[in-house]
Amino acid sequence: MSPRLRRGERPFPPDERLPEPPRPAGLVLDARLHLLDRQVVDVRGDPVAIVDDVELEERDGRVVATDLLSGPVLATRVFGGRPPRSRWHRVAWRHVTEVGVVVRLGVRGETLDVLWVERWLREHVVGRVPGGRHDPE
Amino acid sequence: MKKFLAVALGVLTAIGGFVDIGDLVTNAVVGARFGMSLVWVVVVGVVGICLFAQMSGRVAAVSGRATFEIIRERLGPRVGGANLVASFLVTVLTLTAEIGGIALALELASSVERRLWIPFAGLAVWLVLWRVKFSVLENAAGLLGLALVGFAVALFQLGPDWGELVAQATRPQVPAGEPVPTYWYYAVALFGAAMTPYEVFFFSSGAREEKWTAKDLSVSRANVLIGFPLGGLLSVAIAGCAAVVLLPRGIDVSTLSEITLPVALAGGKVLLALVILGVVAATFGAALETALSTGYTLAQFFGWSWGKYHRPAQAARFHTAMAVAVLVGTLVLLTNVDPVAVTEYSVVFSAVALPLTYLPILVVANDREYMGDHVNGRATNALGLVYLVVILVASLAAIPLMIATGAGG
Amino acid sequence: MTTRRSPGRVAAALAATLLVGLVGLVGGCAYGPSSADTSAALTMTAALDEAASAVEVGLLVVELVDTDRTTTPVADGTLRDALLEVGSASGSLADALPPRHLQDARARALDAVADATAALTDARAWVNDLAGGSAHDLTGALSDAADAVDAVTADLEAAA
Repeated sequence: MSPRLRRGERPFPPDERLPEPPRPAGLVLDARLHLLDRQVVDVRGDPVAIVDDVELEERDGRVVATDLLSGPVLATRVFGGRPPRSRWHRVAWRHVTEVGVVVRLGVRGETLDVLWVERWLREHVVGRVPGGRHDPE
Repeated sequence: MKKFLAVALGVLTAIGGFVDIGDLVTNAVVGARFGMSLVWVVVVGVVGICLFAQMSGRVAAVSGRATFEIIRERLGPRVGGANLVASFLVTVLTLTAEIGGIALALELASSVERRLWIPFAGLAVWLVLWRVKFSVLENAAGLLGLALVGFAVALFQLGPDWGELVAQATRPQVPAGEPVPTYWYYAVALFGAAMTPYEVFFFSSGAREEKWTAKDLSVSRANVLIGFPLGGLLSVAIAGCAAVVLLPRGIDVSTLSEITLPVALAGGKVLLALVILGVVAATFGAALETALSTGYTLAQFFGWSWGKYHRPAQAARFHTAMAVAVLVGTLVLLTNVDPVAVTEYSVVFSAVALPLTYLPILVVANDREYMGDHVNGRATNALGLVYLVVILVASLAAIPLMIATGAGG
Repeated sequence: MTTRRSPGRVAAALAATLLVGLVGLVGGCAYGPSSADTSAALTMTAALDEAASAVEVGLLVVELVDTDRTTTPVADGTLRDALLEVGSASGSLADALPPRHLQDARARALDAVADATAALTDARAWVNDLAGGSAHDLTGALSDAADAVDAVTADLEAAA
């Protein structure tokens, strides 16, 4: 049996004009495609984190993205569940300047909570071992 | 002229860096038991690694991102996570084997016991990772590893019956007295030794370290297409030496000292010293590469800053992860486990992990958003699909064969 | 990506993978040696092969030292590895519990491996310049040990 619909059986007229889609001002993003699992870099291009999840909030009947989340939310995203709010490492959405192949922020990574492990290791472990703060030769 | 030198350096480094402890041990074991009848597996493995290394280098050069970063972006955290777990565990196992190999070679050269060399080897690996620039580390280890060409020299000096060697290689059959499953077990092990999972991630991250662009693609292609096959020839030479000297005497290879016997027989003390230097350099280089790979895969999956081009303070989590990996490997070896046994297990588990590590590369190399016009051609994709089937078969057969043959016994 | 697939399909895929794995595991185990008799003979011949290999290594090392083609540390290390192998072979033989008709063969096997151990220790002492002897004598002792091991192996293969 041929899967092709016969001319008389089509549920739509072949020369029907479809309505134009709405074209709002600004950038249209698909959260899963363009945001999730993207590398976040800071204003200087240094890696900050990977977007593991996005926090959404309902404001005036619209759903708005408030933060990008990283860290423990990865495990719960893969296996299910949700860590308590105090454990969420947030990168505020208002810091995001560009969403492309990577998500670019307008602030330095040093100011963000998300990098606390890196800073801690730098101050207390790597920085204390001789040669840690020098360029490789 | 300058470009010619760059290509020459790259090719020589690729040859010297191709053989690691897994290739060394597995080829010698196979040569001593099966003669040249498994050389075809080395050929298949070399073609495979050329194909995928070239793909992952192209991905890194064109997209400016290392392969693992793209794997998580494109295939999601579950596939990326499974890939990470598989390649991380296998790479740490391989790292342990490589550090063990350094200690074995140093023990052979001196009379100092292996257990005293192990902490020294681990510390040396970490120090080089801490302070030495990427390009220096790559080139030095690769060029010194060229000393392994002593195996090829030894094979020539032994004056074997070339006709018979070639006949055995081109018309492979299971030798009388060896069970068929054992033959296939060693085929899988040899395949896993040639197509190491860490190599492709190291290659693409290394491309980012050296800041390759699309202009460097031809150099990278030359390195891979000339260097790796010549490295494969070295592997075959190791098997040939074992086949010519050890097989007729019924010597089974289970230690590094037995692997060097043909070299001493062929070329005396000078060639022996050269080959031992080559083994130290090759395993040291491979230890550096596997340690870096553990760092790269973790950092790229979690979005940390990574790279040897940063000072350690700017890539703290990356360096900490590598230091922990080297420490774990060293501690495991200090429990007096046999490094050759660790090596034999690492190559089999490499074969098991191959599909998880190689399939995503094929997917990413076809993605136009990252690759633009440099996506895989039809021939590359066809060959890639063929290899995917081979890899899947090898991976599925590995554990049952290991159990059935008692790990090759 | 994964949220598109229904949980039922994921569970089915997981179950299929586990089943394949289990079949492979059982199949692998089923292939291995099953009968106790053949198992004992196989263990003993495997141990004797290990000992024979170690003796051959010893012969090669003595030849290399005699023709000055290797250094003392390498020769010593190689012989030390060979001694570990005969030790392991002796341990396997002692540990095996063969049936009544193979007990005599096991005793002769242990003797042959003991000869091999003695010959290898003599060779190692000679290589390290800690004992007298000549390459010719050592080669003779090692060859005799190899012949003894071969003889017992042949008997075991005939009896099995």
